[in-house]
Amino acid sequence: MNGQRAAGVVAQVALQVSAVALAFVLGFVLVLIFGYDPFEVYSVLFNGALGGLENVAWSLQNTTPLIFTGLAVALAFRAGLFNIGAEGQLVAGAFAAAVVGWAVPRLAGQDLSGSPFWNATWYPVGAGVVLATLLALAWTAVPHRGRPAQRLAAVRRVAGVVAALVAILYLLIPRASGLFLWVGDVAVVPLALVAAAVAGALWALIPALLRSRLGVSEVITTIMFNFLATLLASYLLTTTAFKEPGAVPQTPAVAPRAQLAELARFAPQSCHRDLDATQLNTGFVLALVVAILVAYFLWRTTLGFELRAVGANAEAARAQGISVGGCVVLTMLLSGALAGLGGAEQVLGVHHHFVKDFWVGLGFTGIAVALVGQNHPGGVVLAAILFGALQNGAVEIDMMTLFPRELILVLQALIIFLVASGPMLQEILLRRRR
Amino acid sequence: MPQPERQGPDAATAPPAIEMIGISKRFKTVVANRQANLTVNEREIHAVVGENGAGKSTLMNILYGLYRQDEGEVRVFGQKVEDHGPTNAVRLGIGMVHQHFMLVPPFSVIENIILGIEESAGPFLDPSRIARQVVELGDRYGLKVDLEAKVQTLPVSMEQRVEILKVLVRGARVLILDEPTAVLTPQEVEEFFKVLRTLRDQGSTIILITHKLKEIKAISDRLTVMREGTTVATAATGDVSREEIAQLMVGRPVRFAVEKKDRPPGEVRLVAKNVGYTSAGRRLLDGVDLSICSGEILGLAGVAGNGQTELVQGFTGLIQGLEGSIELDGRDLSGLSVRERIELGLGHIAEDRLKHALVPDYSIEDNFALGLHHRPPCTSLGRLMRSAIRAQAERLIGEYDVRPPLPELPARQLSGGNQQKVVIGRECSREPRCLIAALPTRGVDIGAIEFIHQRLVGLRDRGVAILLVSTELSEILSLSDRIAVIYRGKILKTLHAAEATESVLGLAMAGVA
Repeated sequence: MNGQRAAGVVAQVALQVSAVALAFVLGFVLVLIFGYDPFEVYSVLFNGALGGLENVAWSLQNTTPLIFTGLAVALAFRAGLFNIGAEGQLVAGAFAAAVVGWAVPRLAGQDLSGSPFWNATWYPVGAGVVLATLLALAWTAVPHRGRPAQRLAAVRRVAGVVAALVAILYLLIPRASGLFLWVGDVAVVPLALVAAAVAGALWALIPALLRSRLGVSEVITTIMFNFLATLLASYLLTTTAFKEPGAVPQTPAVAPRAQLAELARFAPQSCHRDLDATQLNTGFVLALVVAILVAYFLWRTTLGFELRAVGANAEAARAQGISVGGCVVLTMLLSGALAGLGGAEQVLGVHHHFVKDFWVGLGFTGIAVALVGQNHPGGVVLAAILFGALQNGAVEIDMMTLFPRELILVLQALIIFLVASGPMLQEILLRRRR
Repeated sequence: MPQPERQGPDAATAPPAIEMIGISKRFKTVVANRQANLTVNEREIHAVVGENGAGKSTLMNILYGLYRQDEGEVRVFGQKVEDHGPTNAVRLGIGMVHQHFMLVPPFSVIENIILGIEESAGPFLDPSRIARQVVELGDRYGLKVDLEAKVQTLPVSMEQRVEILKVLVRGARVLILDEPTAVLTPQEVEEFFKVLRTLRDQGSTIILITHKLKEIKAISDRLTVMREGTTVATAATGDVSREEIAQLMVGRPVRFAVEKKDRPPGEVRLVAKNVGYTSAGRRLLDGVDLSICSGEILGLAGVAGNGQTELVQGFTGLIQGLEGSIELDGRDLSGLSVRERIELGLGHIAEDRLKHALVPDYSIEDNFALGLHHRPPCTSLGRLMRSAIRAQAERLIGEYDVRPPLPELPARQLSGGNQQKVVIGRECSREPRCLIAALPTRGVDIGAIEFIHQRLVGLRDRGVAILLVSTELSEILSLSDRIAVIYRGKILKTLHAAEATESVLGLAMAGVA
């Protein structure tokens, strides 16, 4: 049985690889038709994509956000959802990461005890709020009967916990500025990543609720949320609150402590010259770890089991007691969080600012990556590398040859087309045998 | 016992209507037909019988030109058929009525019939000429239908008539009917058989694909039994007994009667009081009162579509917000989710296993886990316990004889009978307090039916309360301790099994209390 499954996996991979190869062959013919030398174009393409350590690093740098958005789309696909909103969620995550990475270290250095919220008048009021919250928490512990009451109790419990945390932070901050300094210093990267994931998830929340409660197609709502995110972000970059002074529409730079370290720092001295030019950073490692976690989640946890069951046969899942609506919301939140992390990697690792339009195409390419990668985390990583390398090869073609860079887009489109029509090709082959 | 069939055209003196000689057909690695021979004489009703997966459908699809055989020869009225296809089949006078009707519901009857001939009639149609033709055919064969009625307003038995008329209008002299009685009440079956006899007497040849032994005996002139892709016997129906046919189909002797000891029922487990349900303005359940005791099988008889589905889904929680009350062990189920009901011990064998009972892409072991996958031993701290799931699956595969016994195989790749064994095994092994068994033997072959019946009786003997929903009267009669008849959402009659006969139930199922 294991052998059989392995054979199935091999057949799947072989199909995808042959689709990619076929796309390259068709691209070759295309170059020829347009009157360029295909050997020259292809050699520049491959050299640009994978020739030498520096080009490999560039390619992997392009790959990293695509892994995140590809995973986001693939995870949603597994639950039968088509999350086209990865781009908007990525923007939301990136923005949150930028704000945390810029504002928290600045705030951490300040003494807050004299500021409006923590002065002698307000501090007792705050303490009262803390007491009230703790009382509310105690109230939620009282058992209730019946289902609606149970759900309400759950909501109250969550609200109570959040309120208590806020209250405790409020009480502690002026007393323990050391803690706050630590947050601003060491913990700022994890904090920014968490903020990005939460922001990405929240950006997916409304489409998720609309889908699970009212059956509104997530395809349409997530597209609309892309517009909301990108246009809102563009607008915020015109306001003094978020725009750095200067000609470039971007937020102020994130603090050095909030940046993701460049991988060059961990590489041997001899590689530094090649790696220094790129911004390949620990975000790439994070992407690989996240891919493994997603795979573990999907196939080794009870929630993953339920999520895939909903994707494979929602009716059967419902009949077996799985909450389909709950799975839809959870999936969309996780999907949004993955895309949000991709945004954080871009801001904290590559640009160090939230720059206008850095996001263009990242979410949509993620859909292609998920498709080519067959919605499997491993496949997504490989497909993201393919697309990242092609992008870098395209840059090289642009610089080194007269051939229009659009070829690479055509090639990408061919790959997606052929991979998507893989089942169709199989079907045609089968039918002929009949 | 019948003789194995002799080969070739010398079997009959006049050229028979259909001859299929040495047919083999392979799909990738699966052999669907292996050296199958079928000879159907003119003006006879010929039953092709066999279990699921015996190759009946493939053989018929080859005859109708949907598939092409790898080996062998097809002759129609003595003439060898080359380059076969559905269009060609129609020209040769072969028509097929599929198990699932292929009608356009919002279209009228006549429009549906015209749709069937359109392809071969050129760009211009003369609806009135066709209508006249249909009326004439209907008069001749007793197939009366209102031509202007919309198909969606017709009962299934009428839809079937439309399908048959469609085929006849195209000039079919050989009719292939795939499981035609599956959707009919006993009385409708009688009516339908009359039509078939008229068709035969007027010169048509009928090939009937079925697995219902009683109907084979009632209607067919000759029969061919298929097993494992090949034809194992052809005989005149009068020469073989039901038991012999069943043995030929399964390959071993089959017991029909379910052994069931009398057993006094225990305490009341499941009670439904005054249950009602209205959807889209239609009253689907109306004042249903039922109670099932521990150690009792309550049979719910009725023609499909009279509220059984809604009642079952109301019990299991798939439909929420029913009127009235449903109690399990004295506990009100209203407002409880599907999961909570499963956890209280309410088992459910869903009527449509691929839609509600199984996730076809999931492996056998995962399907065994479904429903209680979120509890130990399948789950610990939110992680799936793969080894426990595997161990459970291996135990159940052995106990319920699932073939092939491969826990990793996707359920999709199992035969219908084995899929159903997975469902039965899952629900029975949980020792439910009450089991809702909706059409537990639907589309399952004789050997598996026997097995499933034994399991249900075994559960009953261990004190489980069972609601058996079935459209097969023989199943209801042989398993139930008490029988309730549902008609248009109401329970028309509840009686003890000893008082029930097929005719009493049949009348109640048709609404005559």
